[in-house]
Amino acid sequence: MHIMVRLFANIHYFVSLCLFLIGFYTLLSNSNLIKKMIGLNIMDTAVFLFLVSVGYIKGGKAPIIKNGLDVVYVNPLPQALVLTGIVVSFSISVFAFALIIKLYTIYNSLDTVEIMKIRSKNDA
Amino acid sequence: MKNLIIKKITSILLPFMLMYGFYVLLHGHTSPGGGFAGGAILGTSLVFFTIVFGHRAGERFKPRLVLMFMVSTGALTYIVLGLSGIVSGGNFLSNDNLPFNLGLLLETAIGLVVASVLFSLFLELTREE
Amino acid sequence: MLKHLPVFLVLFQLITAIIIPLIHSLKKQLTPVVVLSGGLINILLSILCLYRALEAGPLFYYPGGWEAHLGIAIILDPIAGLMVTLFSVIFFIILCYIVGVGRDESWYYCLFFLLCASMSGIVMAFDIFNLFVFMEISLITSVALIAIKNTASAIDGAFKYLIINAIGSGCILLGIGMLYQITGFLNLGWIASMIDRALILYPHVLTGVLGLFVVGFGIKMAIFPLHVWLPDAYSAAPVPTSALLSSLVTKIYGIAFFRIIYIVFFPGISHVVPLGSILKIMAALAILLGSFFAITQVDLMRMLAYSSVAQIGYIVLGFSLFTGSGLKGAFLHIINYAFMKSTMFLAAGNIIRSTGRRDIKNLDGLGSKMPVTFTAFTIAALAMIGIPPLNGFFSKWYLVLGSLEANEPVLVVIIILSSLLNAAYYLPVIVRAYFYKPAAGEEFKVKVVEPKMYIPVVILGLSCILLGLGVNWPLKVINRSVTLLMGG
Repeated sequence: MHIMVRLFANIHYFVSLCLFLIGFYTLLSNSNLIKKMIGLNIMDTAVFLFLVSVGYIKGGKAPIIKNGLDVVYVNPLPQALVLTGIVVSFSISVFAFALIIKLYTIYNSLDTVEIMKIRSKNDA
Repeated sequence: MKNLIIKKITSILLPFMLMYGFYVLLHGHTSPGGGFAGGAILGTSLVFFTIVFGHRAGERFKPRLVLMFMVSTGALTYIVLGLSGIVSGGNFLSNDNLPFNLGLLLETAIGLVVASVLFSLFLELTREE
Repeated sequence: MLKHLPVFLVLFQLITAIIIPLIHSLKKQLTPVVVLSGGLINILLSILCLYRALEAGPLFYYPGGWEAHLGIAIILDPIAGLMVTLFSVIFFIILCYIVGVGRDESWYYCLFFLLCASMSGIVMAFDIFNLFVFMEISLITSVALIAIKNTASAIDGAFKYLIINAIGSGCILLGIGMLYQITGFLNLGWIASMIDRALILYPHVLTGVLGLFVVGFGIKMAIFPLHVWLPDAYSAAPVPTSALLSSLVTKIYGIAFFRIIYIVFFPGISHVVPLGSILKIMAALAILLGSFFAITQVDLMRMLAYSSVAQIGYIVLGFSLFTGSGLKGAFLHIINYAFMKSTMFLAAGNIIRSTGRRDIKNLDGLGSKMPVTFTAFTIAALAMIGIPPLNGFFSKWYLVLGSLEANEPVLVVIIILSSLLNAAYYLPVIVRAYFYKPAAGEEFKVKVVEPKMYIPVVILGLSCILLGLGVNWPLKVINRSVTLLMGG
């Protein structure tokens, strides 16, 4: 019972861990390139959820100081990290999709297994 | 896209989207938002425009060379603004002894880069069609 | 003005990267001039950095004027200075090679300078998030440098590289988040000050962080079980790209990783996780199995790629011994390896370019056809095996000393065995090239290699000899770095 209460209090960490693993599993188990990218994005999102929840304070406001009012602010640093992380994951996914488009024009397939078959046929 | 409704609605919405993008961009240092968010909205509205009115319109509106020029200018502006901190006696990007609001200008430079990068990425990715 | 040096270096590289495409679109003839002068100024700036770091000790720099616990921290210590100098030199020589080959692509140069800027950022970053950002820049630029060749195998290799390394980045980011959660800082120095308390309060979280870091950085360094992306990517990439990536980029991640380990985790972590032994086992496996894989390859480029898997093992081994000589060996091997491997890749590029053949068994009798290139290749190969006056010998010497200091005689055996294995895959190439006659009907049509293409190779090959004879000079700087890391 005790562990359930603690789990519930830290539900965001638990969820982000689950999401991370779901993303990881999707990335590894699917042979479709687009689905692999979806898995990668889920993984990144899980990390962002984790980072944001690290800095969150219950009832905290957006961290912009106005007229010296005494309000509780959430920690701005993890938010900055998440913003940077989003930029990074955005650029990685765009780049990966560009490569996928190239692969599709070359092999006419999005499936890694089929691409492997075509490659080994070409090599032989 | 040939659908009349979408075209009409887009032409009504587009100015508001651009305006909101600029609002988020220029208000970033006093409210949630900023260079990246604003630039992303601006870039997405351009992408939206291109999707609806076709590539011809989008390419006429901003050729690739201009986009490359805008990306480079944005990044160089950022660096020059950062160096102005060194000139004024502080560290790189420091805001202490500057007569102007560095944050606003930096956000503008970032917004320029983000918007043009987003749009040029879209153009590059969909070039085959 | 000298205190702004680290940020000037990175900014200079960034500005050069940005203006090269602009200049190219305005006036094409100017591009090589701008590129080469940019490379030269880059060398000057980085030597200045090294000089500053050696004269005045570690220099901390805070962009924006925000102090350590709030803002970004950049450090310029002997390690950073040494690495920056090393890769600006190699970078310039490879740039000369590209200009000599005559690639008419401004984007290629632009990406090269971006990669250089991100590598400078990685070695000078003193907070982990900044480190992460620079690593991502370097990931994207290096993938782009591979994919720019635009052949099916290059795109394939690049995609593999991108996906697997993106998993590594995800792991590292999660680890950074957890480390931030339990210590409250991102600055390495401040984390180190909190780590003792964290070790008592949250040993399991720290174990998780270490696991994520080992996996993430291990993927990026291509340490043995996580190396699967490397051979495909390096063998398919354009030659200058694989020379640069193999000789520098993966090693830079190693330096970043072990800087974190040494500053933050060492030595307290050894009570919680046997980190040293895990890394040693991975390194030993990498050394042996990388060499075994290399022996079985028929393609010259793939053989070189697998040999990088083996060589990264030496570097990880040196770092994970946690002794002075081991560290010296690791740093020395990073320097020597950069010269040896870039020589071999560029020489192999020349060979493939002028004969059109990639298979090792088709290179019979090539030694007399391409004497200059093959001499450089031979020197580098002998250095890689560890023949005494050449530079590779000294790094292995220090690695052996380090293993003895750490009381690990098994590792000595592994190092010596792997030298034999190195000989087993490099010597056949050399012997075939010099002493075999090409089979009937297999006569070569060798295109003439122009001097501007083999001069960079010759310079790199000569520096292998020079670094072997003058091993004391890099050791002076390395000793400073080692005392810095071992001293805490």
